[in-house]
Amino acid sequence: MAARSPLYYSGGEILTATNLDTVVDQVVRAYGQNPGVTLTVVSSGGDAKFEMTDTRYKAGAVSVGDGAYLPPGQTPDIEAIETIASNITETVASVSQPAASSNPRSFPVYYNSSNEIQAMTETDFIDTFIKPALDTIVADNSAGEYFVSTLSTITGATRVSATPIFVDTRADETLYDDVGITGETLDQPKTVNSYYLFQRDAGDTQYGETGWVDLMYIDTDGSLRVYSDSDISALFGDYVRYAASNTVGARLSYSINGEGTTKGTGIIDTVLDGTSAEGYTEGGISPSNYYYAQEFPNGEPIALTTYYLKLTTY
Amino acid sequence: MAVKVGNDIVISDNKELSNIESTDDTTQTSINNAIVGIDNKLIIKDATGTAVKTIYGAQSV
Repeated sequence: MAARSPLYYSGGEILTATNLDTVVDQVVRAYGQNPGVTLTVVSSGGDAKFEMTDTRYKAGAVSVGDGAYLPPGQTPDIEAIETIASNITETVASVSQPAASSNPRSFPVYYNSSNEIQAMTETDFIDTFIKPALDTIVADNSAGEYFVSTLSTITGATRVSATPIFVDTRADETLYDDVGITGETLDQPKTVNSYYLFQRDAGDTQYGETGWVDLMYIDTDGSLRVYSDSDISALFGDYVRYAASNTVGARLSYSINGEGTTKGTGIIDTVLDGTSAEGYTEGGISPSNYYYAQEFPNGEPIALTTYYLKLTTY
Repeated sequence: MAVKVGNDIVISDNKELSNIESTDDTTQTSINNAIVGIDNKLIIKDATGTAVKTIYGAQSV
């Protein structure tokens, strides 16, 4: 079983196709119209392989010195707040083997090693058209793929949900400005960036476009016949959906930071990089001669962790 | 000497057929069998390798 060079009809001749790129693009389009692997945004309880952690710092508790400020070593440190985002679920469609598999004349024809015209087997068909299409979906920006963006709208794609899959929060250092004698509220975050899940739309049909080849099949009377647009599109659609869900080596799988190709922008969890001691701040003095100090989140924003949505075949 | 039907030569002095307007079943069968006998053919097979159609044709000599 192997990838074949299919025959096609052109101007009264039967020729061997040497470039199937346009046909494979049609398979990709067919996948985009009805993907076998879909992602959904949920408010919580998503799949573990998509979990991400948002980290930010909060101030330490106020220290109170009797007659003098307590030093940084005796003033509670800033603390990390970690929030796990579990907002994506992956669904693999339950797709039965297409009915075409039971008809040995279903698939496009090619010249075999004996110069006979022979119909492809199902495996030949998957190797010739379907696996290259799924490889394209993994490697390139392709119809039906999911990707990440901070934008709210993108031409040629549809945002899956207005609910972000990740929100990067960070301590708002501008709000930690005065200890006073009551201290600052410990957790004062701001939203730095929200990340959304998009799905790329299916493009225009490639049927009849430059590079398209009219593939042929064997009719009931043994004659060769050119596939209609609807018939070949249905065959492609059925099999690319089936293979994406079932065929070993062609099944699609998304993850965060797993194997495969990055889809969209990186998701960055940022924090302020200052140490707790660097955020030590002396505050007010009460009439009773108590000295108040606190340690605040401080420093420059840095990327603590970067997450990537990945797509692979397995 | 040419063979004529009426005034029409049907086999010339050069042994060429001419003015043949049709063939009967026996002749068709003979011609068909001659082509099949050359065994210059294109076989169409389904995915299982079963021949579903065989097309015989002339070949250049």
